[in-house]
Amino acid sequence: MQTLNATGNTFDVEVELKILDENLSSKVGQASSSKIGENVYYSVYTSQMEDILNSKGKYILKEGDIISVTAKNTNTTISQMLKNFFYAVTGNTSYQIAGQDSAMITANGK
Amino acid sequence: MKLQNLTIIFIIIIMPIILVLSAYNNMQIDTIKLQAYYDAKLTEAVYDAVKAYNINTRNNAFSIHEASSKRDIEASNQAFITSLTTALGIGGYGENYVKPYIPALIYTLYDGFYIYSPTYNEKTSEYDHMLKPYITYSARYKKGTTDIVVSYTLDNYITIIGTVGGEYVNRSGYLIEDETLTTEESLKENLLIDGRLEEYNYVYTGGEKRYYEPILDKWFVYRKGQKVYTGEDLDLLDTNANQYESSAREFTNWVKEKLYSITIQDIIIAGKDYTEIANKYGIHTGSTKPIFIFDAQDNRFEDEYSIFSMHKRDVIKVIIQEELRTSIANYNRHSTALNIDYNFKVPILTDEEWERIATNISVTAFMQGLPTGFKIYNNYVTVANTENTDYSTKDNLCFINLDEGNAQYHMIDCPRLTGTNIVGYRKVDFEASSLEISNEEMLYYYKHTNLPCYNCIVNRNYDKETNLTDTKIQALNNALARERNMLHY
Repeated sequence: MQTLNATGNTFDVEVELKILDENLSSKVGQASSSKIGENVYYSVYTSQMEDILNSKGKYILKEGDIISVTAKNTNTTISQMLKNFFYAVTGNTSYQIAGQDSAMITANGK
Repeated sequence: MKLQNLTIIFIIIIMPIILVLSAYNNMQIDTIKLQAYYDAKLTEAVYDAVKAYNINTRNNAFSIHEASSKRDIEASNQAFITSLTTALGIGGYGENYVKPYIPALIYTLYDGFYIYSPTYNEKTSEYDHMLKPYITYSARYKKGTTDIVVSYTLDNYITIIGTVGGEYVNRSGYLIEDETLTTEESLKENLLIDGRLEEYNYVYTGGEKRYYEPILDKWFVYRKGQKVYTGEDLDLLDTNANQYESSAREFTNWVKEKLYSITIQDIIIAGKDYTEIANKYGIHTGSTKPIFIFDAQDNRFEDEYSIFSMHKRDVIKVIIQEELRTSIANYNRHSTALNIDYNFKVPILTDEEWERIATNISVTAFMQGLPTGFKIYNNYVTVANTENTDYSTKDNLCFINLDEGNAQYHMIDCPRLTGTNIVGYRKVDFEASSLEISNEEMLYYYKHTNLPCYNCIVNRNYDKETNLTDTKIQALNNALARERNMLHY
């Protein structure tokens, strides 16, 4: 976030955490010894995560959880204005500067 | 001059500048994208290596033996190379293209580490990537007539070899806190017998679990899904925790008597004394208190910020860095033999990364020298194996309230763990175990059918209890002591 703010622009950052829940696969596995059940993921979104960050200062994840981050530039740069002008002429939607990535957590947090 | 002419001249001058800058920006963006891509692929490959090692050791009863451990490491390393070359789209013979850019791969294990790096093979007269000899986390301490080498592990087990007060010693054991007390325990787990899950009491003795069959009043061992009766007569309560307490107490008292004066300032590693090591590696300094003597205020052996724990992590950090420098420097001298023209260096790892390496079984991979547009790729990744069977700490034990029906399993400091009859097992024991019946049939079962607590296991953001009840402290001491005794004694 500090690196993004250092560019002088404002960014809208959305985070989605997919928390691994192995209960379903455990229940399937306990019912049948020849099957391995599938895991389930439930999602935690930006505002829910922010509540925990504000109260505890960190959000702990475990191995197998997935974090997905999207950052969108909310300023309109001169380059964007020019591009949007040409996009409008050709009938396309507007152009926005954004970045997105996701990854799986590889070790339990403390 | 007419405005139109000025405009044309302006465009003639500015257009090439715009085109060049645009091309430069696009190349910079491509370089950053490629670096991020390599970072992601390297992380995935190291994670696959850790996963492979985890799976192999959990299903290998002889994983603590050196030859078997080496085989698990080689397999894990092959998983890393295969994953990396596949991710980069150059599988098969492509590994000979990628390997020269991996100057070192470090496997930090329970009591030492391996480095996998290019070494000159005298038989083939070529440079091959090979597993170097195992290096223990050892440091020398010299004070007066005491000259010892202490080998550390990731928990409180230490080995002391050398002369103490002029007398030769060779001893090893756990350092235990003064207040730690243990009791006998009643342990149970499920076994898959003829397709049915059945619960049995067990004790751990003679290097193996012995289960009690109440109907026949006999003890058996579990082999390939069958009961093999042993004819023994054992007590139903497991005494491993008590044995640990007795052995560890005797060893700790001996250390207190013989090594009461050894401090951080007496250390020597690779010929360097305390001052040189402190200047070069930035280790924790200032404390003049003895390393191996229990102190309730600042030297609790189980506490990660105690003098003992912080010094142990410093020793591990210094030894790994010394060997890594030597390894990469040697590789640098001969890297042209592998057609690589790059000056390989040891990167500076952050304190958080050293913390992760020195407190877990982990794999660290260094990748340098790959061309990525304007820059040369230079990065490293560390992945810790936080679920392993090689040693036990408070963080990899889970606990059940036996008085609660269909109880969930919790961390010891979870406020939802209540009751007065609590027992703990390793976290890996709550996961599915595999049973190979034949070459074509593999079955899975759960030693404990308890489900994880949503407050502390599935979602780790719970309010931890800072002051544990006496019942919980007892359960934690018993579980830690039992699991450690099963590993060492």
